[in-house]
Amino acid sequence: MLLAYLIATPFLAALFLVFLKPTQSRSIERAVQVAALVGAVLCANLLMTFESGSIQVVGKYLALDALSLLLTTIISSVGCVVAFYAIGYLRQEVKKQIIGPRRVKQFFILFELFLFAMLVAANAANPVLMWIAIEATTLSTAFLISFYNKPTATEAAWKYLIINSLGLLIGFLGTLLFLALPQGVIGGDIMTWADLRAAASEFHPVVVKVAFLFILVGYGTKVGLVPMHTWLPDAHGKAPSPISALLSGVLLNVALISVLRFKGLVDLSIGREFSSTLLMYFGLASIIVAALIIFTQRSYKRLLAYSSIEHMGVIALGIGLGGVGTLAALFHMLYHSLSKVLLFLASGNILLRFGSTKFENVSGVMKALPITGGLFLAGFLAISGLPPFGMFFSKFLILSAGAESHIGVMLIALIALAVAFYGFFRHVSPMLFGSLTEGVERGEASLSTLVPLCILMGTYIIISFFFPEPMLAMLHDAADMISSK
Amino acid sequence: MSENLLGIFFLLDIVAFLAAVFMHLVKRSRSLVRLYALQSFAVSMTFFLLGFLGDDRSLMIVASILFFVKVLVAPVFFGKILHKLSGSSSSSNYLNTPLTLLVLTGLVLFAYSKVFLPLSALYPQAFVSVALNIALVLISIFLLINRRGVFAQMVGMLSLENSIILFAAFFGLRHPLPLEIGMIFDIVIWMVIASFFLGMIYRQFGTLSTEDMKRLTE
Repeated sequence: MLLAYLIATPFLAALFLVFLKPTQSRSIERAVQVAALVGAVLCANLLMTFESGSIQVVGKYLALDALSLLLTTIISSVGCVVAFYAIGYLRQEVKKQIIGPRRVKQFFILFELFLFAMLVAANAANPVLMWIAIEATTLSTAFLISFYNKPTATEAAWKYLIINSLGLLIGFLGTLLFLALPQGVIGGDIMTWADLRAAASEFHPVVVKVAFLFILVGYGTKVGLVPMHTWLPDAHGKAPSPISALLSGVLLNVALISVLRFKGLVDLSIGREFSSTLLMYFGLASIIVAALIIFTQRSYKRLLAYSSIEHMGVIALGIGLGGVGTLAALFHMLYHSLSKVLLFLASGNILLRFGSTKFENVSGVMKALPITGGLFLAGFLAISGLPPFGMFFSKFLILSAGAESHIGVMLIALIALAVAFYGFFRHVSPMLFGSLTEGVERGEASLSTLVPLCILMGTYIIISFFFPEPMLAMLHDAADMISSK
Repeated sequence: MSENLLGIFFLLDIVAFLAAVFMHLVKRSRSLVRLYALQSFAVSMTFFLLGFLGDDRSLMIVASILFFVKVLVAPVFFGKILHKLSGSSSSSNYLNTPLTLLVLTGLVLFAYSKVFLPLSALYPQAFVSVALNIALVLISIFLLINRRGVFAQMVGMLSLENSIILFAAFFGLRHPLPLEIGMIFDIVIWMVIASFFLGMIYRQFGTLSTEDMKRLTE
């Protein structure tokens, strides 16, 4: 039942917010804080009580397994930190008269609905419910992307809505094909992932391949895999920073895990070569394209968005390689979530102070915002995979997993990662250490926009060296599920 | 399924297919709405017949909701939006009509080609219908790509959604009623949100043409 309470929390919070007046800003903030803390506590409880290898079924439509627990942990913990940050961030925007109290209320209602949709998608026992929930994430975030009502934001949101909906409909077609597959085998209505797994060995092999292609292209659009990534830099670049953080650090993982659930079925049906090869090459293409575009970026938020494409590529590559690569990819997913959310939130502080996302207008961040700048630098080093940060080990393990079997692919990936690192460094160095842009005040805006960043960095450092036993067991279980063990 | 029944469903499939083809050829937005209503009528009739013949009350409920939402409410809703956004009553294709027809023919041939032949394993008696459904999916996707207008893109998306649920109905896929209603709810919310965006785009860009939405590249 804990899972049901956890999923219901953001929904109830959204419902509660509907009845508050926009002028009751303190009550709105308290409600968001309480929901975030309740969610985090319930999630911690789930994590501590989860039995390795088990599937906890809740009613007809929800089930908690290692994969969904991994996602739930990311959604609840990162969601909690982002909620606290968003309160401070929006206070600053109201203070600067960028938005009014009515927009703050709208923001948090949609924010809570977004969290709710992601939690349902992560824990759906049924592929159709998962699709409904992922589509709901698109619907709840479209208005958040166009939040500032500017033509560029509206254009980005429309692009996001159309491309993602198209992708998800193609994914839905693939889902329906998977559901049609077992009808001739076992008869009756196929409801859950467990039903599909039980029938997978009897699936028609060629239809399975066609269906998985639809899934990969469809849900892959939401993951941001190249070449279906075109919506991502615009949406992540134009959304308010807390939303960009959730889109990059959380939503992409939810979509990727959806693909991996179907991958498990394909592997049970026809072996792992087909799905693994596809994931590996889509991953490699994503790393290469993102690395090249990072090099030529002019906006730091878009740069972070392309970095997300690169890292989704790394995760897909790791899962494609299998074995230790799968486990390393899941570690990478966790590390990427923390560091990318940190970077987007830090970029929010920079945007608030400098009023621009363009590199040409932002220089000397370390002088204007020393703590934010330091955290941005640490986030950059962490996400680049430099030792001793955890991402160094996950990247190293992924690359070494393919060193014997796919040496050429690994070399190309390594070169692309080096290009991405240099491209990132080339932009970030003058932004952080250059002379201060004229007319920009010095000093951090508020504690409420700093503490969440410190918590993220602290968590990242801790789990780089010490990984709690329940989380380690969960990751091993999840890797086994993906590998269809 | 008997031969006669397959024939009826194939006929409804053809209605939905032709509606999608004509969506490429008409210029006026109101004509697009009428064609969408016709296509939705074919879809809801398919569901109703399947429910009626299979004595499946939940399927008949779904068919009634589909009919109410897509055939009755959506056209009126879209009509009101188009009335508000005067001056956006038509949109053209990127490709001219002969080229568009050529691409449509190519897509139909592709749907009937060997590429999709394996799908007939799911329903060996009626590969022709399976292929027609695939063609309908491809043509709807092409509508999204080929039209310059934001409104036409929206109708293209809804046509694609129609074609996919027709596909599901054809394979006899059944979902529990709450999930079916959840799917329809998603679509309704999608329509409302997309319509809201039409208004925003019109206010901010002064047009509904995608040609004028190039601010992101600046």
